[in-house]
Amino acid sequence: MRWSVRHACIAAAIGLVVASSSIQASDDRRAVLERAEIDLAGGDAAAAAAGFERAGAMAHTADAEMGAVRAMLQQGEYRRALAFCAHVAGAHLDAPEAAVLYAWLLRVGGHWRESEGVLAAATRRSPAHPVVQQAARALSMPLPTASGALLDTPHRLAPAASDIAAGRVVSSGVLFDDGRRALIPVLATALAPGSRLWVRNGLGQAREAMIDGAASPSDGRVLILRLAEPLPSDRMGSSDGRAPFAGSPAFVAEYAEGDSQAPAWPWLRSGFLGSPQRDGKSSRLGVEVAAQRLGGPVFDASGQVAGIALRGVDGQAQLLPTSNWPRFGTTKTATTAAAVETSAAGRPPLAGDEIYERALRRALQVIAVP
Amino acid sequence: MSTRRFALACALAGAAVGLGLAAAGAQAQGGAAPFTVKIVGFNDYHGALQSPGTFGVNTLVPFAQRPAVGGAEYLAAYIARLKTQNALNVVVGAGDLIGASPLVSALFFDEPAVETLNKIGLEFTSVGNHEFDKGSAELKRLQNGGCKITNGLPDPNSCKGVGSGAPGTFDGARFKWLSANVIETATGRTLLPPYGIKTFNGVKVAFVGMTLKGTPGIVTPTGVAGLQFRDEADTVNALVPRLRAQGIEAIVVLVHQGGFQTSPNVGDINGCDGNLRNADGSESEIGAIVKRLDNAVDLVISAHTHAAYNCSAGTVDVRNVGGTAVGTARPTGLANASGRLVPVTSASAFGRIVTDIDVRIDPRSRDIVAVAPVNRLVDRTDAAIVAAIAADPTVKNIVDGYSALVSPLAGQVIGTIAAPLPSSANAAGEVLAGNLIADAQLKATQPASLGGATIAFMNAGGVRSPGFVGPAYPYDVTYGNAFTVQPFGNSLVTVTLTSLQIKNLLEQQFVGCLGQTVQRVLQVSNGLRYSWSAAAAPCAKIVDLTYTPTDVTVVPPVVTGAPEMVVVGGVVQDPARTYRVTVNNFIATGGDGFTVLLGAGNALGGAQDIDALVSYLSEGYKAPKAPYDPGQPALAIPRITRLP
Repeated sequence: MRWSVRHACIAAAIGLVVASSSIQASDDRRAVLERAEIDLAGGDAAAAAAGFERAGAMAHTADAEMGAVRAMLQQGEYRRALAFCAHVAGAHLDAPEAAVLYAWLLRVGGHWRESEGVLAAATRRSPAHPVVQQAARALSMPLPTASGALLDTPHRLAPAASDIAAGRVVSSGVLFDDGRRALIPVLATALAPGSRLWVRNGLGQAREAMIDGAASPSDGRVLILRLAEPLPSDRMGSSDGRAPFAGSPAFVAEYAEGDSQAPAWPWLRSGFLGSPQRDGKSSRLGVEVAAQRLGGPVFDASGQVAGIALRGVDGQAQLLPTSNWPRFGTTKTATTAAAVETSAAGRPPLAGDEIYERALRRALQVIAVP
Repeated sequence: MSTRRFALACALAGAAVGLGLAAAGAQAQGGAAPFTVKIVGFNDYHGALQSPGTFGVNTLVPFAQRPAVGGAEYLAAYIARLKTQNALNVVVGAGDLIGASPLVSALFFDEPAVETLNKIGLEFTSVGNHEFDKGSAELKRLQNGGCKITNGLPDPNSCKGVGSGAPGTFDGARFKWLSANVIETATGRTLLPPYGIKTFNGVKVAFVGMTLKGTPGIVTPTGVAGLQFRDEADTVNALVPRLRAQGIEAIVVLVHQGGFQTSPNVGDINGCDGNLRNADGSESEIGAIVKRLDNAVDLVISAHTHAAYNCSAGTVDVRNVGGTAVGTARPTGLANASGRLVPVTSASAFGRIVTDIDVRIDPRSRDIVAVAPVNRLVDRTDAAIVAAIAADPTVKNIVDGYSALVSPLAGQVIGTIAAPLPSSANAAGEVLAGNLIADAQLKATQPASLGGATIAFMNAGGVRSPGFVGPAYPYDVTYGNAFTVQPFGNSLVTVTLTSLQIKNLLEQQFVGCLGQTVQRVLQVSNGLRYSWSAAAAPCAKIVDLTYTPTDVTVVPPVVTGAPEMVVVGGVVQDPARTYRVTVNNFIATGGDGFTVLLGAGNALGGAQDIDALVSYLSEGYKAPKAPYDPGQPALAIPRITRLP
């Protein structure tokens, strides 16, 4: 067929219209993604999730799906985020950031070996990618921190949250009393005079807090903070009756301490409880933890907070059980065989990933602001 | 043969063939009345054994009101319910059933996905691009079964067998993966069968399976090495004459390619907004395929985009009218090469939705004459479904089993052993793994505050195969190993027994004593030794029994008192003497026929058996401490002696 000038003009016009439609669709999608990121940073994870879902319905792309993963996590849905991120990383091999996000999420939940496998595969595919390289460096540390390009969207390896000016993370802490109070290690050597304290959970939600000296236990190992406003809590109680038995699974959530106050997801470590110490007040903790002061919650196999992780005088990690503080969580029950059997058999064990979801709310960054 | 005789022979032969066809036709026609077959379709399962979260039927449903959906056991229960509605049914998939899957499936090489799909009753599925993530050889292994081999050895994460015939096995897929457009370049043949056929009331229905031709561009090159991916429509159209030659007119295409719904509606799962055209008005990938399909194709079950749509006689336009969803029926479909509207469906992804398709088949034409698809949420809040799962937890058990195995705890080392401790017994009935477990249970309950136990008995049936064994020694025992040996979640109970009750308990190990029907030799803790006579009469087998107080909370164990002769020559020396004895709650309540324990007093509940085991090994025999060696004198093994 010979094309006339008229045909060519018509074809060109159609091409322009189609191209223009494509550009318009692309712009629309970009605007939806930007709005979703703003919602996420503003703490409206549900609106953000809706935005990312809408963008994902416009095109099956990695950026929208990574945003959806982060929105799920910001709503406390670690299991869902992890499962979907597995898909995103597997389906978008052209986006190494997706594999990095997946490796990071695996690691925060305690899946070390699997995290290493995912990152190694990403490194083989994209050895020179800056995000892959930086993530590999960070994840080689015992307690990684995300900074620089790792905090860029769409992969951002931390919860979206507003910064707290000039602060630093001095320890981890445990949220209790329906989100009104927090238990933290003593901070005598960590606080400058006049410092103000903030706490922030794994969802990026922060509150200013004051030391409640009157309510704090007199053993000199822990302090109680009263929050200016309650943080959302999972409303789950604490282990009742005796502390969990030696040899039972234990999970510790901890944050990196240091000069930064950047928001972070807690790191979950798993292991086993050891035998009670001679003082009768603490137990050995067969969990390899990395932070210096610790202070994070220790969960038992059923996901109940069994106590707070502390360093003993020998530098070893210990569990200070909640049974030392009757007002910590649920009412302490009598130590009877029936109660113990209820504890052991009445609550089924939870998967580590579900315990991580509890850690997102229960484990706190304790931030000192000079 | 003369021309005339040849003509006669031909006529007879023709008549015979004609009669045969007529008979076959009559058989196929049955009562000659059209009948309905239920096709249940889903796609992009991606090993989603667990719920992928909530999902709404359209974007107007507020997040808070969207029900939790999916999960293998719920998918299974929904499909089982649909199958009960019509005995003429088939369950099919449209690819990406594995690959890009969550850890609970991926860690085990997607064997969990295949095992759950087996139980769900899947029969045919197309391959998708993700079926090639690990290469065609691995796909064939998943199809045919067998363990994953890594570096020449069976991979420890393969053949867990949670949903297969036995531990240590992987059955492979009982469904057929179909790959009509995937050709092995070396042979020129399709990698897997191009289609599957199922016969209903004598009428054959063909299911042609394909992945998108663009697969090589979206998977790892090594995954598709040696394979050629041909055009989807050309592949189907070339197969049509071949199928018709087999008398097949009912043709369903399972294709791993799809589209998205576009404006102006709200993306209802039974919508076909914009007839799946792209936002710029161009034809979608699936639309472009259907547009070139032979008119013989009756139904297309599509996939890949994770979108839900229903472009068929059942399409519903759902619009947002002042915040309310208003639905209007709009029978449609996607136009094929002849301009006829063909039903095209997709069921989102991750087991959120199933497509419930009733097809009407005319036995005279052997063809599909009507198609009525409906996309249905796999709603986890449906009480009847919840009850059905409770009644048949087969798939739930697979999900729970793999969920437990994927725990970060599973790989943690809890101790080291210097020699194999199998779960098999010697002639006396003593089990090396049982000794360790009994000692662990004594340690967990020996402190006064935890029971003050002096003796522990462990039922041999609770020491599961293979015991504590490894490929080489010293061997690091992981929590996963320990869980395999002690999987029942029993808790410890410390009770008070008299010398006489202990003797009776040991007599009850043997057939014919106190109702025992099978020999069940209890494993005993350090400090207890006894001998039994094989020739003696029931209830008179225990010859001698000695108890030596031993502190097992320290390593190595230490004898703390003089031996006590509890039974001498079959006679209990001090029948009223009491001991604190630890057993698990199974035998404490008369399990394994040990009814003597029902008469025990002063029961105190304790730790779980697995916790006791972990504590014993990790505090006593984990590096840098020396490994557990059953030959170590302080462990006082053997403890049971069999006399003639």
